[in-house]
Amino acid sequence: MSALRSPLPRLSTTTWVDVATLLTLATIAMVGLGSAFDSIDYLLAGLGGLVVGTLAALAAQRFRLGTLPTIAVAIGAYFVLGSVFALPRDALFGFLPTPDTLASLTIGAVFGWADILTLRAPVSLPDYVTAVPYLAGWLVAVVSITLATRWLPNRTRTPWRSGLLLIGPTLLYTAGVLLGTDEAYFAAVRGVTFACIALIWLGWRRRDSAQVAIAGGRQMLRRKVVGTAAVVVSAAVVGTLVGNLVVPPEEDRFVLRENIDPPFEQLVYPSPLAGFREYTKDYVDTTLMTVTGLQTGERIRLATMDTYDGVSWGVAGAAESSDSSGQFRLVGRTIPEPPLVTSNTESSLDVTIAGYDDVWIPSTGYAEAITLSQAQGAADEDVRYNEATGTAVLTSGLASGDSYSIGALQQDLPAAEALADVPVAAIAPSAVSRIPDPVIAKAAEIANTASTPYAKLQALEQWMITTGYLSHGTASDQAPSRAGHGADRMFDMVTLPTMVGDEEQYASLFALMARSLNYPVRVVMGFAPEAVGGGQVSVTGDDVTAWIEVAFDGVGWLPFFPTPDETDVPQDQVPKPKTEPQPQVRQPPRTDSEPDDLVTAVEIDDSDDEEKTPFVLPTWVYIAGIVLAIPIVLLLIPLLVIGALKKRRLRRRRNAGAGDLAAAGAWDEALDQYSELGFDVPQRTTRRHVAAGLQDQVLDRGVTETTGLTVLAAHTDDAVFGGRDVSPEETERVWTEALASVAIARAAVGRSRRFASRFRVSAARAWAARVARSAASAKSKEKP
Amino acid sequence: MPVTQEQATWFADAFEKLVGNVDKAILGKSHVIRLVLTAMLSDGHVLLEDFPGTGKTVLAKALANTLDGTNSRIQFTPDLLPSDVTGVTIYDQGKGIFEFHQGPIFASIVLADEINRASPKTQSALLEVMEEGVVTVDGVGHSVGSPFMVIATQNPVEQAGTYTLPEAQLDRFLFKTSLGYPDHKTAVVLLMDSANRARASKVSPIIASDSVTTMAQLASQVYADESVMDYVSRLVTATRTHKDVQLGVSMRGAMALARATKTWAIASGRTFVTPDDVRDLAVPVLAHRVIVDPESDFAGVTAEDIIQRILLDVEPPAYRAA
Repeated sequence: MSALRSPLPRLSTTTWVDVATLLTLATIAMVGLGSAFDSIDYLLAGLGGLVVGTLAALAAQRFRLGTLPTIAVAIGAYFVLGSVFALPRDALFGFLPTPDTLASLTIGAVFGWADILTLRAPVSLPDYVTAVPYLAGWLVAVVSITLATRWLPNRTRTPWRSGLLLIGPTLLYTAGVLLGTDEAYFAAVRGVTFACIALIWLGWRRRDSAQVAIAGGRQMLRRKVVGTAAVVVSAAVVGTLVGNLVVPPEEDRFVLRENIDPPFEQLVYPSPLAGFREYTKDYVDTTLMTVTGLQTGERIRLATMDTYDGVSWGVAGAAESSDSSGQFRLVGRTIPEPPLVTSNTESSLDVTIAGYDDVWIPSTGYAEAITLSQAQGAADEDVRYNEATGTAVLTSGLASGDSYSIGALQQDLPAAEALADVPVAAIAPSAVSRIPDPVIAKAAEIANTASTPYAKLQALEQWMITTGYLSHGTASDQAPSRAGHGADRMFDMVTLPTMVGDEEQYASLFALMARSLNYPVRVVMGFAPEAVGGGQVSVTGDDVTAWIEVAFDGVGWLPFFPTPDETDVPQDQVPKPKTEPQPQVRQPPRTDSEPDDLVTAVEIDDSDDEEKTPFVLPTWVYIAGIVLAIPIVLLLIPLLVIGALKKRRLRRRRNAGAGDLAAAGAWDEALDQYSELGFDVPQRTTRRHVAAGLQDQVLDRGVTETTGLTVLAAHTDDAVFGGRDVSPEETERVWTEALASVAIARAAVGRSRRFASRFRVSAARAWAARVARSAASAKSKEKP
Repeated sequence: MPVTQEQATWFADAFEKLVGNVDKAILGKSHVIRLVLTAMLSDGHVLLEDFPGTGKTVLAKALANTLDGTNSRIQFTPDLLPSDVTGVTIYDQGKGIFEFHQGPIFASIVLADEINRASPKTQSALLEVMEEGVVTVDGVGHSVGSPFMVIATQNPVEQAGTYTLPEAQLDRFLFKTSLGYPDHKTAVVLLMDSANRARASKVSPIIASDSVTTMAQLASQVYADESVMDYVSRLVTATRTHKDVQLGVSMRGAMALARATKTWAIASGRTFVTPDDVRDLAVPVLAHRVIVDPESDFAGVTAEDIIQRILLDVEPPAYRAA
C-alpha cells in the first residue's frame, strides 16, 4: 500500500503512445458505423464518447481512484457530457443536459442497438440512436485507456498483454461491420490501416519487452521495428492484392441487419386478395375513404402479392422473401428509392379514411414520403414500408378518421412498340407453387402466338378480355362466379366452357400464367375510383380492383388489366349429349395402359426444344472447370514467377564478368539450389565447412554417392582466392561440377521435396534463417 | 615471386614426411605436430600448456631430432639466472681476453621446460632472443642463427612457486596449444612399448637446417588475397571490441596469424591462402593473446570460447576483394 501513496503517478511516453494508438484504432473502427447512419452526427457522438471515456479513465488514473469510484466517475461523465455529443439538438442551449436527453441516453444505451439493426438504413429516427456510437466509444475508451494507463505499465510487457488492449478497438471495429449495411465503408483502406497500426504497435511493444538489458540495443531496436514494419507492410500489400482478388461480393457481406427479422410480419395478416369479395358484397356502397389528388386513370394501391401456394396469393413474408418481394421495414422521414422504376411523374395524395379498416395503407405508385397528419394511437414508428412493391403498412391499423398524405412516384408506361425488345427483369422469382397443369398448358398455347415477352403478355391479356366474362357472383350477376382464387378455381377457369370471374380471378389467373412462363409477376390489389383531374373523390367497395404487374428490365413493373368488361354470359347453348343406345358388346379385357397425361404442356415443349437448342455445356462443367482452374492457376503463377527468377539468377551468375566471380557464382547457385531442396545450408562460414555440412546431410539421406561439394569448394576457393586470372574453361568446369553436385542432391531427396523446391527461393529462406538467428541471439543476450 | 604449384606440392610432401617422422615418437597427435612444424617454418615459437606427463618434452625432443641441427633443453627453476640461459662472458686467463661462452639458447630447437617456474627476470631474458634471434651480453650481440625455435612448456595445475608469463612474453609465442591425453587405442600401443624410455631418440633427422630455411622462405611467398587479409583484420578487430575481452589481440598477433596461415596453406599444397586456413589457426594463434575480462573469466568464459564465438560472428569472405 505504501507504494500507492507515492507522489501522483505520471504517465510515461510509452503509455501516451499506447493511449494515442488505441484512440486512433478506435477512431478508425468508429468510422465503420458510417454506413448505418444518414448524417455525420454519429461520428461526433462516437468521437465524443471516446473523448469522454478517455478523460474519465485518465482522471481516475490521475487521482488513483479504485474500481467503484472509477466506474462512478465514468458513468457520471457519460451522462453529463452525453447531451453535448450525442444529442446536441435536444440539449438545453445545445450542451446542457435536460431530463429528455438523460432519458434518451439511457434508452439509447439499452434499446438503440436493436433499433439500429431493425430500422431501415440509413438510420435517422429515433433521436436516441446516436447514443449507441457514443456509448460504444465511451465504453471502449474507459476500458482500454484504464488498462493502458494502470494495468499494463505495472507488468512485464508481453505481446499478449498488449494484444489484450486491442480487444476493445477490435470489438468496436467488428461492431461497425455487423451493425452497418452490406455496403462496405472504405473496408480495404480501414482494415489495412487498422491492422498495420495494430501490428506495428504490437511489434514495437515486443521490442519494448525485450529491451530489458541489451547493451547497444539501439541497432537491434531499429532492426526490429523496421523489420516488423517491413513484414507488416509487405503483408498489407500482399493482403490487399490477394484480398481484392478473393474478396466476396458485397451481397455476401455478413451484417446483422440482414439476419434479423424485422418486427413486422405480414403473414399474420390475411391475404388482402382473399377478402376481395368482401368489398364487392359488403362494402359495395360504403365510402371507404376520400382521396384528393388522384389523377385521371391513376389507381390506389392497397397491397402487392407475389407468392402463391395453391390457395391464395399472399404478401411474401421475410422467410420466402426474394429480391422482387422486398421487405417491410421501418422507415425514417424519407423513404428509400424503389429498386426498379422509371418515373417522370410525381403525385401527391391526401387520404382520409372512412369505412376502411385494415393495416394496408392505401397509396399510389411508389411512395416517397408518408406523413400521418391525424392518426389515432399511431405514430411514425408504426409505419412499415416495402420499397420494392410500394406497399405501406400501419401496424396499428387504420381507422375511420385517420388522414395522411403521400408523395409518390408514378411508374411511366412506355408504348408497346418501345417494349418490343425489352426482356423481363432478371429478378429472383418469388415462391409460386401448385400452378394447375391446364393453366400452364393454356399459357404456353397462347404465348406461342407471340414472340416477345411483352407481346406474349398482351396476347394473354387479350385472350382473357375477349373470351372471359365478368361476374362478382352476387345475386344480381347473371352468371354464378365462385369466390376465391385457389388452384381448383383456376383449374375451372381454363377448363370450363365459359371463363367467368372478376378481377380477383383474372388477376390471379394471369399472374399464374405469366409465372408459368417464368416472368417476374405480382398481383396488386387496390381501388380504381373514377377520379377526375385530382379532385376529391370517394372510394367505395365497388371500386375495388386487382391487376397484375410484370417487371421489365430497366423499365419497371408494368401493369396489365386482364379483366373483361363483358358481363352477360351467353346461355349455355351446348345441348346435353343425346344418349345413343349401342348394341351390347363384350367388353375387351382390361389392360394396364399408360396413364394419360394429356395436360402436361411441359412435355410438349421439351420435344420441340431439344431439337432446336444446339448442344451447350451444362453450367456445372464451367463451374467445375473454374473451381479446378483456380488452384491450378494459383499454383502455376508463383511457379512461373519463381522459375523465371531462378533462371535469371543462374544466368546472371554464370555471365558475371570476371572469371573468379563466375566461379563463385557457381558455388552460390549450388548452395541456393541445395537450400531450395530443403537442405540446411550452414551460414557465415567458409565453403569447406558448408560443403562438409551439406555432404553429411546428403549422406544422412542414405546416398552413398559423394556430392562432390568438397572438391567444388576447393576449386571455387582456388578460383576466388588464388589471385590469378581465371580462364573461361576453368569457370565452365566449376559450373559443371556445381550442377552435377546439385543433380546428385536432387536425386537424394524425395519427389515431394523436389516439387517443393520449385516454390522455394533461397533468398527468402536465408532471410528467414537470419531473422530466426537474430531473434535467438537477442534472446541469449537478454540473459545476464 | 609467386610460389608455383610444383613448389607447393614439394613443400606439402616434405611437410607430410616431417609430420610422419615426428608422429613416430608421439603417436596420434598429428594436428599438434602440424601446428608446431608450421610455427617452425613461420619463424615462430610455440607454447605448450599441458598437464605433466602428456608428452610435451617428447614432442619437443622429437622435433629437434627430426631436424639435422642442434638442440638444447633448459629446465626452468625459480633460481635460474638469465646468464644460465643466454651464456656468460668469462675471462680467459690463457688468452688474456674475455670470451663469450654460449648458453643453451644457442641451438636450433630450444626446449624451455616449465617456463613459468623461472623468475620474471630470467623469463624476460628470453624475450629479446625470441623476437630478434639475437642475444646481447655485455653490449655485444650474438646471433643464435637460423633456424631458431623455442618450444616452451608450462604446467597449468601447479600454481605454487610459479610466475605467470607476462603478456609481452605470451605475445611472442606464435601458437599456444596443448597435447592432451592420448586416446584409448594410442594409449594401449604406447603401453605395449612402455619399456622404451627414450621414444624421441627413435626419430632420426630427415631434413637439413638449410632446407628448413628454404621452406620458410617459400612459405613466406604464398599468395594471400586482400579479402583474406581483410578477414584476418576483421577477426582481430572483433577481439578488441568483444564484450568479454579486457584486452584484444595486438597488431603483432594479426601479423603472426597472417604469417602462419601462409605456411599452413602451402603445407596443404596450395599456393594461396583461404579463409579456412585463417579459421584453422585462429584459436592457437589468437587465444593466448586475449585477456579475458575478469568478470567473464569468473563466469567460466575462456579465451578459446571467445575466439570460437568470434569465428561464428565474423563472416568469412566469399569473393575476391573488389
